[in-house]
Amino acid sequence: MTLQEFCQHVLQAQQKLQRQRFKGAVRRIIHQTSLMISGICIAMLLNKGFLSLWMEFHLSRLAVRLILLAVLLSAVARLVLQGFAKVDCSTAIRELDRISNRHNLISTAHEFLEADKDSIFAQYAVSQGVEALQDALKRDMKPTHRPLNISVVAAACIAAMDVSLLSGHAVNAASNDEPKVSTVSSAAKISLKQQPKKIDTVSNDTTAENGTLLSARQHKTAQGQIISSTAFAQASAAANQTQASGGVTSDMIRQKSNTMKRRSASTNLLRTAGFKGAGAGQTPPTETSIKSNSLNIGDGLYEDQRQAAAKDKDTLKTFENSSRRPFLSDRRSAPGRELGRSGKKDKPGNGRGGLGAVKKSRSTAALFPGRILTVHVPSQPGKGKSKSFEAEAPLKPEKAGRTTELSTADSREERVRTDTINPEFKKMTQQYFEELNAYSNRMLKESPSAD
Amino acid sequence: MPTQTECLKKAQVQIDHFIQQFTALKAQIQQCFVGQNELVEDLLCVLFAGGHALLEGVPGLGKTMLSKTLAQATAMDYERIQCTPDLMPSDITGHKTLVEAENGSHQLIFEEGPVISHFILVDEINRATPKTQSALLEAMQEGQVTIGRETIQLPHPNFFVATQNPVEHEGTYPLPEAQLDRFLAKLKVRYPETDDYRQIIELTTTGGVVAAEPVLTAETVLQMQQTVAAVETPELAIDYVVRLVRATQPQCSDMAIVREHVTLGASPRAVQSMVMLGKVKALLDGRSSVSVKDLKGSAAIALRHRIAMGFSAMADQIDADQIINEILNRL
Repeated sequence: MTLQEFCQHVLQAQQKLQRQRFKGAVRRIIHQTSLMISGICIAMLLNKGFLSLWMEFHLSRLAVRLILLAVLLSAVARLVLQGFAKVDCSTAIRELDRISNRHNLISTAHEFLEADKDSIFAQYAVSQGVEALQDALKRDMKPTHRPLNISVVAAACIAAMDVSLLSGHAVNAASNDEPKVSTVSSAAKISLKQQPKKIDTVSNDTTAENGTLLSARQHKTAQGQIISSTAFAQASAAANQTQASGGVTSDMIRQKSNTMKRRSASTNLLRTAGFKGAGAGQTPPTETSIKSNSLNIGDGLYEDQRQAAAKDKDTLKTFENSSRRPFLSDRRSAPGRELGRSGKKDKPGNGRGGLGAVKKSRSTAALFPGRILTVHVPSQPGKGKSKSFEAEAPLKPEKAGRTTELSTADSREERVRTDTINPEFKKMTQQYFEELNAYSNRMLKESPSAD
Repeated sequence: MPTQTECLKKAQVQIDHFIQQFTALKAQIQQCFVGQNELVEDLLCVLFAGGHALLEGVPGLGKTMLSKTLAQATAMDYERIQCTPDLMPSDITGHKTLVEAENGSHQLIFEEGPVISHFILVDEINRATPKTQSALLEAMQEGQVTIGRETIQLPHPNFFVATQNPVEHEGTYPLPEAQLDRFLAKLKVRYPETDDYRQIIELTTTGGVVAAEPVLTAETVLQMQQTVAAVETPELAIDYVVRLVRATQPQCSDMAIVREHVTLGASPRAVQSMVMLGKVKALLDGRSSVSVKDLKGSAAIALRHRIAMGFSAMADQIDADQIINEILNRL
């Protein structure tokens, strides 16, 4: 197939794809419009309900309509433009590849045809690409994004709305989250001025029930039970008021515990890796312990932790680019590679020196399988790969004799000054060594290794 | 000049022949080495891609057994280097020995090391010292060994399989990055499936000798490697693999996870490795060109040992495979 024929096929696919896109765009307009309408309905419901807690303004009916219209128009415009957009050749090929789901064969074939590659594998790839193209053209070109089932989405939206309304999730979230609490408390302050009597009754009720000041946790549970907006605002305001009278506000505690959490998270990261830091090996501090620490000890603790973290960071840098790695499992540092005597008496040996009781064998690994040695055999190059004990074979007798003779001759002629020695003593010594030499030669001849 | 039909027929024959030989070899290995289908296939892909493989797994999973079986099935010259802490570079490459000639003169003769062979099993590679490990660098990359002034070419095909145990730290030396980069792929040997245990018991505890029959020769392997090299790589695949490898490099990547946890990204060798593995995978699928899917399939084994993780990754228990998956999902 030539490039022209291939392109004609692609053009066909382009036209088909264009039609499919338009259909898909229309379908999507219908689906997305219905989705948006349901979304805006939900927003309106929320606006009337608990959302008004957070927002200090209400959307008017006209404003809602205008927003709805703007959203609809923009969506329709986007989708229509997408539907009428012209499909270019590369997009069509990519789309065909997606439809055929056969390893980019079509785009590969197009590329090889364009580059005019003539290797047998390139031609084979082109033929496979054409096959895939024809196969893709036969298939129904479905749009890339499958439309969502509107009934499922609508049901999910309504369910989510119901759940959030009934569980009072937003109310709880408001009590847990700092900025929300502040907004709620500010709202409560406003209402506090307006309705002082009601607040007093709520706060009195809660304190009367518990018999003590309202703690932060009790504050939460109390808030969870109150569903109506005014009651919630009153309760939180009362809680704030009672905690303020105790000397430490809930905001202060929360703020301190959050900063501690952030610091302890950064140091814990290092500690879990096995490095010694401040308090390494301890369990991570709980929220209550952090609170008590922060209250009792104060800022001195932060300084220690900061120093420990800085120290750990330095240690990390030294390990970062070396082959030594710390043991992550048992939180120990990496063993040293030095072979000298190091360590302490009470610590067990690790096979790397030191005074420990248990040690690994000091022998070399090659002792077990045996070591290959080249035995020097005259006139035979590379003769004999044998075990190490063979290297200790006894000397040949003739060689031994020759060596002894040579050495005595050397000593007689060069090293010993003979003129100062008594001739009789000289004769006796010579006789003794000659007898000794003869004896050793005789013994070597008689020994079985000489065979 | 052959016609188009003849070309297509020839290509078809070559691809069919490759698949046939590959399947036969795999079947022969699986007669002795039970299960681990994916591992066996990946190891064969590395062999035909012309690279070297690093097998990593806890003791007793059959790493050495797999290598020996592959050597038996391919009938190539096989040498084994058992790495110990006192192994010397000359024990691997060979050395010169002074010998006495017949006329009484002396001469230096080169005694070949085990590295000069077709198939070399480097068992427990991380027990050898870095000095000894470095003796393999030239042999693995350039296919030659230089001793003194003499350079000896290794026979073709040349295939290194190294094994290592990831759980032991004492008495071992982690492979340096330069050494790791020379392995085309790092294959993780995992525990067998339940049914595989039964088969293993049947095969190994009944007293019979299990040995693979030779299916291929060194020449056939070489021929198959040439077929792999002839597979075409389109621009689309090249673009993808370049983007993928660059995404692993912290200085080039725009992914936060890479910049935070990776200290050293994959090298250009990784690109070569992935393309070669992709070519084998394409042939096995009956195609003559590499696709993006082939490259995705070979990314994990080709990249995992080339990505050096920082300490923060170790602390967060993030490994190279997770980083690769993130990148693959992103690209």
